[in-house]
Amino acid sequence: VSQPPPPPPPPPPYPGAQPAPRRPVQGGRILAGAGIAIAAHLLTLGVAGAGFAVDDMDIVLIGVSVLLLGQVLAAAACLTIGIVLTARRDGGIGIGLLIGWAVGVLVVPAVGFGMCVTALD
Amino acid sequence: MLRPVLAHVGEVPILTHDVMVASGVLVAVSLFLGELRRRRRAGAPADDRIWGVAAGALVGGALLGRLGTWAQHLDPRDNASLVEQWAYGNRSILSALVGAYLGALLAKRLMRYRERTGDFFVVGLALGMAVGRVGCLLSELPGTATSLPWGVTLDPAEAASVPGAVAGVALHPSFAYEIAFHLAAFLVLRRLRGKLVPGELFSLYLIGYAAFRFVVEFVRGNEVVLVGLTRPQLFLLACAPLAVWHVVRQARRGVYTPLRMVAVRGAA
Repeated sequence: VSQPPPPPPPPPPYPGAQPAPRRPVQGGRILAGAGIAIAAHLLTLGVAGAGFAVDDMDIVLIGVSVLLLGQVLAAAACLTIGIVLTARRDGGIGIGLLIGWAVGVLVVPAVGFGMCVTALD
Repeated sequence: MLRPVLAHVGEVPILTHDVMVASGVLVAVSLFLGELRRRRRAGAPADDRIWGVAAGALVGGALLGRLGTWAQHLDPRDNASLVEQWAYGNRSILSALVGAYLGALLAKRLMRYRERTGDFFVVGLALGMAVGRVGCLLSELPGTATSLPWGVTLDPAEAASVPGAVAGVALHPSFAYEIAFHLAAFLVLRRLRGKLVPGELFSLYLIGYAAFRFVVEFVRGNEVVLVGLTRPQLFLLACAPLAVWHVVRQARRGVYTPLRMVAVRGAA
C-alpha cells in the first residue's frame, strides 16, 4: 500500500506580519523628535509673526489665521506620526514628537498671545 | 499683589501664568528624570516604555488642559467653538490631570505595558503643580471675601483686570492654600516613596488633591452653577464614588498597612 504524500511544509511567514524588532529608546532620538515638533511650532509662529509685523489689519488677521491653522497642522502631523512611530517602538523619534508637541502647546500661548495682543494694539 | 504680565520682550508681553505653567512642567519633568536616575542607581532601572507613558501623559494633559472645559454649558449654543476654546478658552488643571491620566493609560495600552507607573511621576507632579499655581496666584481672582488676617486686597487697577473682582475687599488667597497643599504633598510623597505597592502613592495623591480641591472651591470664587456647587465640585462629586471604592478595596487588601507603621514610627 502506498503511503499518502506528506503534507507540504507551511509557507514562510510573510515578512510584514512579523513584529518589528524592538529598538531601545535613546535620548538622542527623543531629542531629535522633540526638536522637529518644536521647529514646527516655531515655524508657525515665525510665519504668523511676519504677518503681525505689517501695519495692515487684513494681513494681521491673516497672521492670526496662519497661527491657528499652523497649530492644527502641526498637531495632526506630530500626533499621527508620533503615535504610529511609538507603537512601532522606533527607539524615541515618535516619543520625542509627542513630547515636543505637548511642550510647544504649553509654550506657544505665552508667545503667541503676546504677539496677538501686540499686533492688535 | 497681581502681576499678570511678567515682562515685555520688545513690545510683546510675556504672561506670568503661561510662564509659570511652563516652569511647573519643566520642574515636573526634571524630577521625573531624577526618579529614573534614582531607580537606575538602586539597581531597578525602569522599562524604557516609561518614556512613551510620559509622552502620552504630556499630550493628554496638553489637549484636555485646553479643551477640557469646552462643553461646560448644557446648551451647546453657549459654548465657544473648538477653535475659540483652543485659542482663548480658560485652562483647567483638573481637565489637564484627567487628560494626563487618560493619555498615560492609552500609551500603556498602545505599548502593551501593564505595570502601574504613576509613582514615577507623582513627586514631580506635586512640585510642578505648586510652581504652576504661582502663575494663578499672580494673575487670577484670588478667592471669595474673608475677614481672616491673611486676606489679600486688590487695588482698583488690579480689580479692573480680573473679572468678578472688587477693589478694597480682603479676599481668600485660595491659590496660596493650594500651593501649600502641593508643597506639603511633595514632602510627604518623598518620604513615602517605595513604601507602598507600585502606583498607590499616585492614587492617594489624586484622591487627596480631589478632596482638598472640593473644599477649597468654597473659597475660590468660581461660578456657582448648581445647589451651591461650582463646576469642579460637581465633577469631583461625580468621581467620588470611584475614589471611595478604590480606598476601601485597597484598605481591605492591607495595602495601607505600611502607612500605619510609618505613622507609628513618626509618633515614636
